[in-house]
Amino acid sequence: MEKEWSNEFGRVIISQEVIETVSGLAAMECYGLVGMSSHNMQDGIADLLGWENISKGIEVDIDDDKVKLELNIIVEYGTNIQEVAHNVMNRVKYVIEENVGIHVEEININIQGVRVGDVDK
Amino acid sequence: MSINKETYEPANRIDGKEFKKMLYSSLKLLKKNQSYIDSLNVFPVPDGDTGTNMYLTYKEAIEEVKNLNSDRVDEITSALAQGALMGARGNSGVILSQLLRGFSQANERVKNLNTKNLAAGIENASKIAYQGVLKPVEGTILTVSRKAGEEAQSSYEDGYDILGILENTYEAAEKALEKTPEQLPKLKEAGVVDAGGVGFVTILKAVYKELKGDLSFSHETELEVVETEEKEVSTEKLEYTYCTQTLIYTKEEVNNINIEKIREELQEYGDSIMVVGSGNIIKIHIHTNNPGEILEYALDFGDIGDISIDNMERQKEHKESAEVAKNLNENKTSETKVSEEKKLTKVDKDIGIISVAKGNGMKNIMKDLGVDIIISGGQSMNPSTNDFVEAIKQLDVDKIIILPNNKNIISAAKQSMHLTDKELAVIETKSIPEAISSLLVFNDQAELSDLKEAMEGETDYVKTAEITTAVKDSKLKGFKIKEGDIIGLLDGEIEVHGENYEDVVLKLFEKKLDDEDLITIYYGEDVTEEEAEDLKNQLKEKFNLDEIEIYNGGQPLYPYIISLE
Repeated sequence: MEKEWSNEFGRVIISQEVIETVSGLAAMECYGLVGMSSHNMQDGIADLLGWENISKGIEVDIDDDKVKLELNIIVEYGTNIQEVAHNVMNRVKYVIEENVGIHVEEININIQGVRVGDVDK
Repeated sequence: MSINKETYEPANRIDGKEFKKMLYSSLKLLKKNQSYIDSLNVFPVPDGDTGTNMYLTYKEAIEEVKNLNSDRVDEITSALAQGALMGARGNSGVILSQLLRGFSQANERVKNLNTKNLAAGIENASKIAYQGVLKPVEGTILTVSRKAGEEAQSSYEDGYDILGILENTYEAAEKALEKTPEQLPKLKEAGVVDAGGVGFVTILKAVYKELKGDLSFSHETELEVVETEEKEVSTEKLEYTYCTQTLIYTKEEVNNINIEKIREELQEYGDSIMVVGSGNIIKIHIHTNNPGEILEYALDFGDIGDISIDNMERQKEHKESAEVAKNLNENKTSETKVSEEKKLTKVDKDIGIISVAKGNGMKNIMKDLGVDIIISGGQSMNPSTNDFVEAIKQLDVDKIIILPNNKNIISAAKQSMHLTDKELAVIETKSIPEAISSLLVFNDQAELSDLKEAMEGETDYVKTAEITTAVKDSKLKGFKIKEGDIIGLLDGEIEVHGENYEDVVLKLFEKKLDDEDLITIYYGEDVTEEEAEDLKNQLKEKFNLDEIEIYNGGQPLYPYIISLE
């Protein structure tokens, strides 16, 4: 599935992966988010995904005009989780709409885990 | 080091009282710099209000300290961290809360602040803050905090006293801040330093200057609590009368399960329920008719304290009469609507309209076009989500559309959708002219989703030109703009700049006028009717335009807002 539009010169197609990657990069700029977790949750393990496959933590659902996103994230212990989630929503929506030019209908955030960074304390 | 030798004695520890004073001062200085910090925002983020977010977060933190009955430094810092955690707003607010948490961690079991803990605190603040982000970007508040932490530690090792450590730390932070444009190209292009970094340096500066005795804020006037929250304005009989708040000091560690449980169980007692907690404290906020029952209930979980019960019915009456009295004194002609607006606004329509504008002329134009409630605001004065929620409550209809008229306000307007049961649509207007042309296709009988589409479609045909004064030196798109220059924007993008308003309008038209032939000029409070009339004639002549209308918009900051269709 991909998102496309056309003008008098031809078509532009934006693949799902582009939306995933851009969303992932935008989300990671948000303070408090320390990782993405794989949405392939059959085994029930929320694994911390590395840099390179950041887009795996994001599900994109494109239905005609509507783009819905689902982000599975891991946040740092001690931050205000609600606020972090709120920041992530705002940032991702803004970046997608501004950079990719696609209207985002819905963003759902699943907090899949909390990382305690200061274990040595 | 430039320290007054005569009165100065090295101090290796300071007590909680002094420490609190330093903190209060830093809040005041942060408040003072709030709008300046806001103005430094270059990052394209939806809510670019770093200064406001940091201030509000820090204010919550300080509030917590004020409510604390102890002068132990460990308890003060932990209250700070706690307050900031609960009050965190925006990215910068969350970072600040982590910094304070880090500082607090290094000060466990400390009665008076000594040099070792101070240095460790500043260093740990940065360390903890760095953990909260996947990919730290250099040239931000994080960088500034790290440099500050390094300096604090080395100053401590070099044997400086508290004041010395603070001075060196502040200077190092300031230096790091000045370097942020070298690290982040975005900052360099805009010719500014990092906004969050300024907030951090501001706090350090105030703390240092207060201790040194350089900062003369009066301490009698305790910081005023800005009454933005519990604003109950409708004249409807309130369903619940008492705003009840209490803290519970629980026997066991709080976890999400029991918070969720409390939240659910409170449902039957009232509304506007808020339950937050961490460590051994839970805070409950609820609107109820039986505050006693709430306290009884709270007692089941542990000791209670810091109870406040307010009768909102009475507060409301009080506020309204104060409002009326104020209006009588102030301005008899135009502004009596303030008190009207505080009442439930009755509307003879199916769909209510809420809009945002500044300036009496603009507001009247909006009223004429059918807007029911106008929230005062616009560029540099963004209304909060709460303002929208209040307006929504006030309107006596179930379907409402909102016209934010500024791209920074759209998200606040949208937020309000989640806070009301009414059917709501936000028409994403980015300027007043867009709002005006979209209002022309308003249809009271339409479905909201169709209406939104129709109205937003209309905004595509309008271009908005705005003339204003640059508030800071900046470089954009190859322009070098100095503070005080007049700039012309088309649909939010800076296109031209010059020396006076009329020139800039002419330049802008020259550059950007396509085939638009319907021009409407709204002139602001800084411009006289004659000047506007003159501009109209010049435009007519130069660009061969027949239809130019002018209105007195009365808006501040923007001498001219021009719509091109």
